[in-house]
Amino acid sequence: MSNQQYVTITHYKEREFYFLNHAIQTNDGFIAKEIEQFHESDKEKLIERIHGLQAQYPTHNVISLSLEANQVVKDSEDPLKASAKIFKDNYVIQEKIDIGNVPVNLYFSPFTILYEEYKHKLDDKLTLMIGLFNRKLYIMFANRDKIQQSWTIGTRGLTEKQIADRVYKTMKAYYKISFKFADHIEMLVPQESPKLLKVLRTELDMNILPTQKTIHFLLHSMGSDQRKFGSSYVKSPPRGNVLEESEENSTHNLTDIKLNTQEPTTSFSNKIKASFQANDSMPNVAPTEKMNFPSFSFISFIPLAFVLAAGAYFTMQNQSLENKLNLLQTQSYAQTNHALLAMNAKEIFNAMGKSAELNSAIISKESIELKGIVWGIEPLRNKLNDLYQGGNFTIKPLENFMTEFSFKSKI
Amino acid sequence: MSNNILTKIPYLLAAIIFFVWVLPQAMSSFSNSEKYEEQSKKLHNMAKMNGINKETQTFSPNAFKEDTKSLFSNVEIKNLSENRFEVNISLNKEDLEAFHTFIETLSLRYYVEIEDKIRFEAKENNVKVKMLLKAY
Repeated sequence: MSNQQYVTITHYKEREFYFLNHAIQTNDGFIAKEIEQFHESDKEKLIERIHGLQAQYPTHNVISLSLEANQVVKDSEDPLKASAKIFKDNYVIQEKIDIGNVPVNLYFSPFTILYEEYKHKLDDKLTLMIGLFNRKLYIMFANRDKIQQSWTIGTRGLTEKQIADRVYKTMKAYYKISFKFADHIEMLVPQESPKLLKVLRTELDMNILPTQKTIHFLLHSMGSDQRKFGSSYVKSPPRGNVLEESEENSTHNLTDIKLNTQEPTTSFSNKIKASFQANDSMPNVAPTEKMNFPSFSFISFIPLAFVLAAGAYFTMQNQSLENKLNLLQTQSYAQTNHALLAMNAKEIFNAMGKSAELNSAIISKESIELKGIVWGIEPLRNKLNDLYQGGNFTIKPLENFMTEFSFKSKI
Repeated sequence: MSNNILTKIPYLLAAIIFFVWVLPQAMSSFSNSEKYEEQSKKLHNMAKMNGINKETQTFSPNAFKEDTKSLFSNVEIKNLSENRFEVNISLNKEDLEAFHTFIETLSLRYYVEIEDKIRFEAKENNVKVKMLLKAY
């Protein structure tokens, strides 16, 4: 088939729409045509269009490809269920192929597409591969030997932050199982999701380089090479052995998680299920996980808030005390000065005694200036010189045997 | 993983802030509290010794006049500017002792200090005192 030109017709359903595309496959790649969209109520038109495309290319091989989303990855094939081999020891298993009446030749699993996209990058280290298809995250932890674990996470109704939280919980849950952490992350998205990418990078603290390819492109790529689709398309189980849909293939994909060498125990799978349930409704995380994640962050801020409050309290108290202390110190200083002034004034007036009369006095902390009338010069001069050494005592005789005196001195 | 580091950062910040800010502030606060108690007690004792039973109050011209009307003949207060007052007191010579005591205890009664100097002018039995007071 690879030596002939042929046409691949791809279609998938997302939300309430069918998306249809076809491409001419050549040796140098494929040439895709315009994408056509049909509402689910126009399913008949979709089928008619596919038949029309098949008729349009009568001389070419036509392969109808489709994306079936309800699968799990296991270590072994289940002969009773539809399966596809995507690795040496890994198989994508789904309960049945629901063909309906839409013409389909080959179904491919999102896990298959994800693996095909990144298999050349796998090495000994653990890689977390995430694919976003039809509002579900398909998650695989893999290295070059095998796919270690896989999950699907519904994102319907979730914000980017909530989606990032779920991816982070996936990594934590896987770490609890295996004590290993992904070394790097690859992400495949069909359309640009810059906000989701940014939130993922922030929450996971890892550099994520997204690959953006449309689902049609991916499906055409799968159909372009027989080696690719040869074993990895989903094959129906033998007729008559298709089981009724049972609880085993519930939307709780975590029940199918297996460790490399051991079977999951009930308590183990319940534990994982309890810590991380993947469905399309609002997240229903186990109370411990739910409580730990946000409240732990909150609790860590309590000591900081307490310390800040204590710091503010002591700072305000200190400021208030400093103000009061300043007031008291000013009061003490004033008290000392006033005591000094009063003492000087008292001594000066006492010094006048009966032999002098003070007319004016200017008394300060630093100096005194006195003027008055004196009858007994020497007693007054002696008293004043005793009190204030180095002062300047001058006299001026007046009429009627009185003497005017003046005295200046520094204190 | 990043969450583990993020949750440790507030604890680290709390520890740093405690030692760099809270602890010094608390110690300074306790020290100031002790100093305040000591000084406050000292001034209180001084006031008590001088027979002053009222708490120190903010200077008010009316309150000052009321307190001094029994001590001196006349008291006039002029408001110079914000918190500065010119006080003119007339008294008899025999009341000088009371005046000296009053000056000595002035700052125990009011939050006020005498700015710079006291001027006395004496004529016969009358003494006029002029001083500038600054309230704080």
